[in-house]
Amino acid sequence: MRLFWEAIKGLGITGKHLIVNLWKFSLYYVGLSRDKGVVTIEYPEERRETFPRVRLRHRLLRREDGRVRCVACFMCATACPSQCIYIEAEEDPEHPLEKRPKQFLIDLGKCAYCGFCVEACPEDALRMDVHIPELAEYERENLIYDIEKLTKE
Amino acid sequence: MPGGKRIKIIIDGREVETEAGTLLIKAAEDAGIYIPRLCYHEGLRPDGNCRMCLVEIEGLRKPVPSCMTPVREGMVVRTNTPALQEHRKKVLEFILTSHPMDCPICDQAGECVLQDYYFTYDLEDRRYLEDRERKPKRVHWGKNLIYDAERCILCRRCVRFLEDVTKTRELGVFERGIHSYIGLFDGRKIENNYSGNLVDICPVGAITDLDFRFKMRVWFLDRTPSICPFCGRGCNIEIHTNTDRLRNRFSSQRVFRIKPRKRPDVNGWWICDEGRYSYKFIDEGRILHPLSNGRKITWEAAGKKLREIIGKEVRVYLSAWMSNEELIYWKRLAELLQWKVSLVKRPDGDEDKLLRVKDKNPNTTGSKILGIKEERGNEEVSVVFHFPEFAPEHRIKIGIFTNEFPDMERWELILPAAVFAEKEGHWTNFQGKLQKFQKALEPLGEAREEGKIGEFFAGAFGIELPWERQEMEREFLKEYKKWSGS
Repeated sequence: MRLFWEAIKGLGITGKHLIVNLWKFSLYYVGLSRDKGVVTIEYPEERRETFPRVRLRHRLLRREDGRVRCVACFMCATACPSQCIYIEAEEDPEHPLEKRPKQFLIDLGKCAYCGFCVEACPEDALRMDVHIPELAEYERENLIYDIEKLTKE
Repeated sequence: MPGGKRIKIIIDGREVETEAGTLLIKAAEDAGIYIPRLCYHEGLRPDGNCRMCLVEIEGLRKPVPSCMTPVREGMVVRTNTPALQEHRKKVLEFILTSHPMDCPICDQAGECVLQDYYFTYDLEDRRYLEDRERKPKRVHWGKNLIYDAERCILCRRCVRFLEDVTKTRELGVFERGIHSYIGLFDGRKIENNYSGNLVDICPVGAITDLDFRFKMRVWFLDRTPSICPFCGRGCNIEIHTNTDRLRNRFSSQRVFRIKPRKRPDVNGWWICDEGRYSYKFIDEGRILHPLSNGRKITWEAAGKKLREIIGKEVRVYLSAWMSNEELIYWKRLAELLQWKVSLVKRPDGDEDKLLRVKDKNPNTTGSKILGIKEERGNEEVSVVFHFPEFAPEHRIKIGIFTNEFPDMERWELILPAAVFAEKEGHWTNFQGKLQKFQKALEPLGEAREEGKIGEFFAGAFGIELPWERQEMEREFLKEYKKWSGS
């Protein structure tokens, strides 16, 4: 008997949410309210809005002349707690900034998304503002991003 | 003034005893009180141009540069008053008005004196809003030197080094005031054998090393004290290595540079370029496995191969690159096996008045102490260390080498040995000084240190002679005392 009562109570909660959210959504639909209510987002056609300060995968920025902003100073690699940034520096024979990265790899499989690298970067070359959360890969190697992948928007 | 009379001065309320004629900055440093300095270097004539080392002396109205002031009996010195702290801030602020602050791309960052002093004494924001002075950058001074005039703080250490130490005088200060820069005299290049020291004495990143440029950040390097093996002097060096595969992912290089260590009675503060840039053999072209007629074999197979020479006449050619301990161990092993012993070494090279000596081996004196002579024999088998080119032509040649060389297939057996950076031991330099070198790296591949190879030989011939370095060190010291006493 008690179990039966609990089941009724549960159904009541479900019904309450259904009616409340139906009401809220109806008001939103006709333009009387800003509150949409709790509505299922139909991913992947529809996406939830990300917060402006969310930390997702990295992006390398370029200068106006097309050169990568990074000067291979190793600050990000030094700050990185999971040691997932690998840089090889080389001389840039023409540019007044004498140093550039020959290779710049970030192993996103190891990355903890702490954002220390972005904080450490003195050239504002590295950001984590790509608001795309999808990173799934079949191979671990594909998670190691190089300059080309990191500069792609 | 060595041997001068001892006098007492008071620095920061502490009584310090020092020799008459010592410079105040040196007397304070010996007593453990560090006075910041940019232009002063212990090994160079003082110049007093940076004004960083100013101290207050009781009885004098104004602060004086401690690097230009000899001590006087009863002097009362203060090195850290609020006025001096304020003064240091101002000195640094003036230097930093025209310093480019490109620490991220500067190789000196991390060991830069200006950077350290900024964090210790200054920490003020920049107030000077004008553009920075434009000066020549990336000037190639010859050999491995790259000069950046914008970073230069004009301490003139490099000029004084070339004037006083090498006496070659390639550099001078040109232009005046804010436009001044260090430059080469017309038609000159820095070609002397001590050019690498300019990189060490430069307090900032104005002179950097082309060989080390952009290879590695300095804070990722491990530093091991060692001894330079390239001549009989045995300069005290520091080996800078990085074996962390996470930090050093793209190259197989382990040793990144060689820096001198201060040892006034052997090498002072300097090393020659030959010693500085010849470290490449540690990582490149190494023999990684035992080889038999050029084919790779295992150590067990090598042991079997060794037993074939039992009963034959053998002469072992020890090398002057082996440590004292290894020489005495191998000598004892040869005695037990009734082998004859001789010595091979690199031929003499050129010398100069500063550091380099004729003998191009680190331990010729050690082999002399043990009475190992350079002689050739006609035995059937020869066991040769380190120098294949000196091996006599014989039917059976067994070699213990570190690096690859042509016609390795003509050798019956080659065993891979560890280089000096991969083992621990002592060398006796040409002055008869015992100097210790420490292990900076693990032996590459299957290489073993010569003492361990000796143990392997003993094992193959069924002799009980374990390799214990400290035991051998004590044995050598006995011989050394006999030698130095006579």
